[in-house]
Amino acid sequence: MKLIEVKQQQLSVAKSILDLSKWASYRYESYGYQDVIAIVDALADRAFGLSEILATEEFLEINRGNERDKAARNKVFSRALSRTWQRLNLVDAKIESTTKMMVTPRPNGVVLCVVPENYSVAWIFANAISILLARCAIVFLVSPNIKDVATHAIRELVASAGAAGAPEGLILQLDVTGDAFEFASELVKNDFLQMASTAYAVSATVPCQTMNKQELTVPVVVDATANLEFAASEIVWSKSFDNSMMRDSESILLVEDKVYGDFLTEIANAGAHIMSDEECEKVREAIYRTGNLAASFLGLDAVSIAESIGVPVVKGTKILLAPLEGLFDDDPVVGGNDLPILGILKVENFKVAIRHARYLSQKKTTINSAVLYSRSTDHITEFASNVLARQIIINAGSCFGGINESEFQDFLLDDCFVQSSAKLHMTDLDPQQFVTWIKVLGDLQTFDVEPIRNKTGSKVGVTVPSYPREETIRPDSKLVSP
Amino acid sequence: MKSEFQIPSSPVDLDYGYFSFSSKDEILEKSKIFWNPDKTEFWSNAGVPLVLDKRHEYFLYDVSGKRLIDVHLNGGTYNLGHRNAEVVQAVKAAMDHFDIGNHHFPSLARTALAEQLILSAPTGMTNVIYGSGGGEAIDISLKTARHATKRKKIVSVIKAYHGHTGLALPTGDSRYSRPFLCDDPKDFVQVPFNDLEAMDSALRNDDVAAVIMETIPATYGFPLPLPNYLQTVKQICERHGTLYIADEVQTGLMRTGELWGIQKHGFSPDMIVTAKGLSGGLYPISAVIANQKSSKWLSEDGFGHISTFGGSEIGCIAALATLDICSRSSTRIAVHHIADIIGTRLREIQDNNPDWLIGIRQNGLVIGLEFDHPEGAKYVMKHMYALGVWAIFSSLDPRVLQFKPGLLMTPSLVEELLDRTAMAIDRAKKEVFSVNQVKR
Repeated sequence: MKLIEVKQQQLSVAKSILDLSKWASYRYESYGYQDVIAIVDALADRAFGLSEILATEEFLEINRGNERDKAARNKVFSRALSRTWQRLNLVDAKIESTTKMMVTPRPNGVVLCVVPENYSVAWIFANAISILLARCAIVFLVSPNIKDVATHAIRELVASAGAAGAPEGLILQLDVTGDAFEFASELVKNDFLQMASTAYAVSATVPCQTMNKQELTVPVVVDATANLEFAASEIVWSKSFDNSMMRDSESILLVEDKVYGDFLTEIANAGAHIMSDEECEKVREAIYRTGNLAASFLGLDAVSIAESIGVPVVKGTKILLAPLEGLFDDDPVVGGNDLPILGILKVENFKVAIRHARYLSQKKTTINSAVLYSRSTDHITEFASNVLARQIIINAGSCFGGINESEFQDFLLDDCFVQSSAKLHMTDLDPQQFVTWIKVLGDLQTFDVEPIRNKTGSKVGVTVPSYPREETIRPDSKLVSP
Repeated sequence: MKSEFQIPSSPVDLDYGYFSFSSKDEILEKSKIFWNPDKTEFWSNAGVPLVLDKRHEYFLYDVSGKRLIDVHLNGGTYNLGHRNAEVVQAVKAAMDHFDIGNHHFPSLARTALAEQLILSAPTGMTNVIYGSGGGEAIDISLKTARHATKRKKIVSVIKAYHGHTGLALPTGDSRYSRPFLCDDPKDFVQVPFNDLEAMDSALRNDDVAAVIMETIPATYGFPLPLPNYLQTVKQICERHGTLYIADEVQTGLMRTGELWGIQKHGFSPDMIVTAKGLSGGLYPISAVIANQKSSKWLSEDGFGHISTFGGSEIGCIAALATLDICSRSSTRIAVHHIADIIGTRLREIQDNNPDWLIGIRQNGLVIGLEFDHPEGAKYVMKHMYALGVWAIFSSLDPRVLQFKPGLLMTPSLVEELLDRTAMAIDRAKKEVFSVNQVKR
């Protein structure tokens, strides 16, 4: 299976590519669980093996972020992710334990994936694993700024999936010359596309953040019971990871008054530069002059940003910390999470911290994650119950949620899907998003339900047959005697 | 008469602006009077009273509103579907700038298409000569071969079909040439298909200008060439100074899963003839793609063949768009998927009807279904029509149904097509076997 690249961006050409994807997904639907796992395993292994090379290529191509962090993320988003998600069987029918109802998964078809520029390789890996586990086909939409590395990554995935028996055309690439997000928006207006997946930061150079398509806020609460040294170090690590190019990083710190001073000491020791009011104003003026983030700062490390705006910092500074007086809506530092710059607010107590976190969740379009550093079980429960985030992370940096190369928890990735109705809604890369569970009604006593196989059964190594050349024509084909 | 062409708003509204009819019966009656009485009546009697109205993608609609999945496709004219959006767009845009052009002068569109055709063809092809239809292109290729070899005799296969024009007609079956006194066994020799000895014998005297063959003879019911047959014919041609003309009117343009069917056989012919699908089904055009050896007259006397409509510039634009779509990897892979699914399902249908569907001839999306009755395909055609599928029998072997799915069909349409086909085959079998209306 070779990579198909399409150079043009006309809808008609894209349609022909998506038509082929439909065929691939149609074929892939008939694959059994073991065949799917074999393909995903092969793909994830290849991705893991290329993590460092592709991180280097990605860094060289976009010249932003941190090469080592990109490699680490690529590794996490390949094998570890695959291992975690493989626990889901999205192929075979099952009995739901709570309702005792039989359900069978139906793949949603073709998924269009707009590859973001801020973490393209890892995102390609994660999407490929997730979507292939659900037996859907993928069309990656790649913009010119990341074309080389994205093409390399996708080509490798195509080769490994093909060698493991994936049908031809299961992973395709569509190059666009303009804004990939806008092109995707055009595509989803057409009924030939079932589903699209896109990260927010579609373009780093066309200032994506100024597009304000969606805002993502990750409030972090540090309560009085927290291990402050650990919390400070974890926050600095997470916030500075790949220079905050992955938008799941911390947005604002809410620290209890009782420990605020000590926490500032710890976080300064961990590599944060605590800015003065004057320095904070420089940040607002230089980086958020138009009310939105200036794209030229994306992917830069804290020292580079500080130097460029005239804030003196010591070598090795990892994040810039901006003490705030309150949560003012018009303050761009509140809630931003695209740079290694973090707002910090002193709060009277834990109740107020929760109230602020809830306030942010209501004001901002989406809250993907909320983080709590605490050793109090009561606080953890209260926080989880009251903050309207889609996932609560306890005592871990938000960019990975405590995962590592070998173990990937059920962690939500920063993505949204655009369905063919063109209605945006927030969700995550969980492979379950790509299947529809069909309820099977009737007298289940008549079924042998353990295990229930998908009706299409297992087709080991089904691939597109060799082209029907002369030598492969059936020997029993009947020829007409003239 | 209205000044604007209007698409009827409903199946019973037969007012099209420039013309109108009160009913389908009126159309059929006038068709018999003013157009072709025998043909009009034949289709009605055959259970296919079709008068085409709307058409899009792989669907045809009778004026009554009946929908049909088209797997006849006019011999591949509609490989990319009816009124393919990309080709329509290209032709519409072309009409704002081009017209047919002047055949005497170098032309933008003709040159651009010629270059693309040469790039698409097997190695060794150097020039393109244009016509307006398949028959004309066949005539051009035969004239070209005669000029290059200074020989007159042409060899084709028995039950061949290459069109109805002057030189094409005698290469084909006498069913079409004899009524017009165009059969000419002296200069147009026919040999059995897949018979190498007969071919060798026909060329033995070194007096044959060209062997012309469809890569898979369509009107004969798509009998597949035996392994190495075509290659050996080419070798025999070379031994005797005869040119090999590959008629790719039906097998070309990705229908076999390669852009040109002959590419699967591992050699370059001296000429390739293409038509039908090259037009995108929108603007007539045909072409002969020739190598240097066979196309010398183009350098010696470029005015040797003239065709006013040959290579019309609007047609060239339609062909460029068509060639672009056909050449895409995505199209090629889709064809392989479609061919595989259809082949698998057809074999299942055959397993259920081993005494009725006795042969499946398939190369990509070139498919012939052979039934165990002298006119079996006519029965199947009738039942398929009733079930909403239009496929035609092979006129020179009516045991065989031509089954030509489109290159861009979707999985759901293919499933629907196969379901309807299975049902039609079953119904035809029951009619033939139980009613026994026709002697088996």
